[in-house]
Amino acid sequence: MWRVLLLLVIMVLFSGASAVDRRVSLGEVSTALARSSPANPANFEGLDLSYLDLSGLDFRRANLRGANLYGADLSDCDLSHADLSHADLDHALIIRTNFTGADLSDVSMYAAVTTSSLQISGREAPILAGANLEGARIVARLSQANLSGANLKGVQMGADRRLLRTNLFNDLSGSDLTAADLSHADLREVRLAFARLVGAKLLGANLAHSDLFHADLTAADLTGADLSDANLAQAILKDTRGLGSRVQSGAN
Amino acid sequence: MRTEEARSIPRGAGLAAFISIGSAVIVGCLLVPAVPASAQREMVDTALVLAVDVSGSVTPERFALQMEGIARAFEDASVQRAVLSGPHRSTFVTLVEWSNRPAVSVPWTLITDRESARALAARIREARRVDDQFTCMSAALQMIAGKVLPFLPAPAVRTIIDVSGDGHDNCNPAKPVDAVRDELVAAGVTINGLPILEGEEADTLEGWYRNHVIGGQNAFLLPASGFRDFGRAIRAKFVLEISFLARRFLPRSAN
Repeated sequence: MWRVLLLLVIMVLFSGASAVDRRVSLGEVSTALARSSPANPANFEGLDLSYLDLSGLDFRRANLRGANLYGADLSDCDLSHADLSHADLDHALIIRTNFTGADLSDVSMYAAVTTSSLQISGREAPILAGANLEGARIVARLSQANLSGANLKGVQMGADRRLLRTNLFNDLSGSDLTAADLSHADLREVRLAFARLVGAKLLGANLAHSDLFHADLTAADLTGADLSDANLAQAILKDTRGLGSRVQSGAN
Repeated sequence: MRTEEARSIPRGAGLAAFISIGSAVIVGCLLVPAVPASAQREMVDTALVLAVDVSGSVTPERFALQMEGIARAFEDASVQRAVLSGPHRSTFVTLVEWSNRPAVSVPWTLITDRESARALAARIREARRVDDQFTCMSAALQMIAGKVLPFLPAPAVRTIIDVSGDGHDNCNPAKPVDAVRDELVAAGVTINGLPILEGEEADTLEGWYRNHVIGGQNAFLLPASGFRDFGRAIRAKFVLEISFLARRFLPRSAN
């Protein structure tokens, strides 16, 4: 009896795995996109699109919930208002990718590639304005990216011991985080120099050891934020709330 | 919360699926077909992909010669007659420039009369060059299979890829040109070749195109003796390949 039960469990597990990770080809993806319309967006939920060259394709409003996009080339893709929640974007190329208004909650974006050369260029940065990145785990150079109005609540960008042993780091320097919600975000060691954080919510955020050199924190709310050993030199702190006595000398 | 119903990806859809696409499509970005909704059709005679080599050996002058040659061909009365001679009197054309990475320069454009053929010629003259170095034909054919043909706005009686270039694939592709060609041919596509016999590879290029590039029903080669001969060759090639279709629909006595 127990053997039959074991067999049934194995069958259920395997059937579940194939349904979640069904591999699709580039031709299948394009065909689905070609048949889609704004009223009937394409559905790739839970599918395996890893390593595909999807550059330049139009995924507006597509359902990519839980999709495997590991190592996929998403350069120049339009993913605005797409549902990518719980998707795997590790090692994906996101050069000039448009994620405006996309749902990226709980995505994994480890070592995502945002530049085609060693030089960081704002023209190559992905667009994440108004995107929902709540709970996302990110390790990427998002320098000069547009994240205005984005929801980054509880985002995990902090450098842990394992990450510090690599050459990877999170870079938000020069990015536009105007009115973004970074409440309870883990931003330890993150580079935020020259970032525009006007009106941003950083309630309870962990900014320990972060670099906020010349960051514009005008009207930002840092209530309960951990700023221990953060570099706030030349930061603009006009009408900034919740700083208390944690401001280092040199801040404006 | 999503309220719109999402359409599922069809199981088993793939390279062959585009052949049977029944409905017109509207998509964004570079692959948007330049077809007004009112002009969308149930079927066209030919879907023609012009795959033009823009690798490092193609100087600005040579690039201009290629684009001008293609543009003039669509302005040529004999080509226009051939294009409009099929039962559906219509052809979809797209232009893909290829080197390290291929790119769509002119999206799917419908030709139904002389005026639309001339308008296409104007768009081809204005096409922006995608500069790069290598001759990555396998990547170009894979991109056409994966990202261009599936977005054909209406099914075609014949699907033809016109590959022109002055060199062999030099990108050491994981999937050889032959393998990509065979997949396309299996899906019903014809690949014709226009090798430009100028430069270091002129002696061997025609044979390489014959053995590795062309394939499918009525596939043929029409070499140009150099870039300055490209205009003549492409015009002759258009008439030949589109006339294959016209001939099939002519009354038997007219053949």
